[in-house]
Amino acid sequence: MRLKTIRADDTIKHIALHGRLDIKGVTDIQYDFMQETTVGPRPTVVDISKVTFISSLGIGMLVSAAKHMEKRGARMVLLNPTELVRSTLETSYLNELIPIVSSESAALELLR
Amino acid sequence: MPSLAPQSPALRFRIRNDLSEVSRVNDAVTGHLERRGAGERLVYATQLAIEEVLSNVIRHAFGDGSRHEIALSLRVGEAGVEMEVVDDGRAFDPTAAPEPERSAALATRKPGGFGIHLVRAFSREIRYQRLGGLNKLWLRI
Repeated sequence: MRLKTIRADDTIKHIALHGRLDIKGVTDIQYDFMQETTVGPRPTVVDISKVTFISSLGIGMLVSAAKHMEKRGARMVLLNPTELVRSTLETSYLNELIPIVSSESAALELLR
Repeated sequence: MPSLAPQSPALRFRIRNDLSEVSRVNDAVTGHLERRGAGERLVYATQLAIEEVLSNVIRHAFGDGSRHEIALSLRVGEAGVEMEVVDDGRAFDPTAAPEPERSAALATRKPGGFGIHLVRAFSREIRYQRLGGLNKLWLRI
């Protein structure tokens, strides 16, 4: 599991996750992900197009980060999940709490 | 996509109650399914069931700090994947577990609690039995 920062400035952060958000993947990435999203939080696009699997533990990591961000006035948007990952997120009703979009321009529009 | 072969011999695992075991089992099962031509959705749903069911048993079934073994067997065939998980932990019927709370706001959403819900949604059939002090969970995916 890898995390890559695409953009980080005063107004927005754009990060990308690669790999499997399962027990092992979440263990690998959770600390860095929480640091990136919740320390001095800014509106954040999380590109999950390269996430090939997500379990309830991975969903919990996204929820924890988004909750911390919201308390400090920042929002998270999830970008471009695969069909199966999107189906998992929707089955967990996460799309009702964290927007899921299919393009970077739509993500930036929501975070503006 | 190649069609699934007629039902394969069962793949069997004896699993320690340690979360590091889950990836080992899932890697082996994924290879087994892919060699038999299982489609992407079937592989994904099986991985999800293994991750959620095993992690649930390992985290919640044993309160004694002792080592336990969980038995998992799996067959793949034209009807999909059939999987059985047997453990000697405290009785728990996932088929009777209440649906998780559907929060209207992030502030009230709990990070966890959706594992069994996901397994039920991605499986075609789930049955549970408590027999001789064992939990027996059978899934068709």
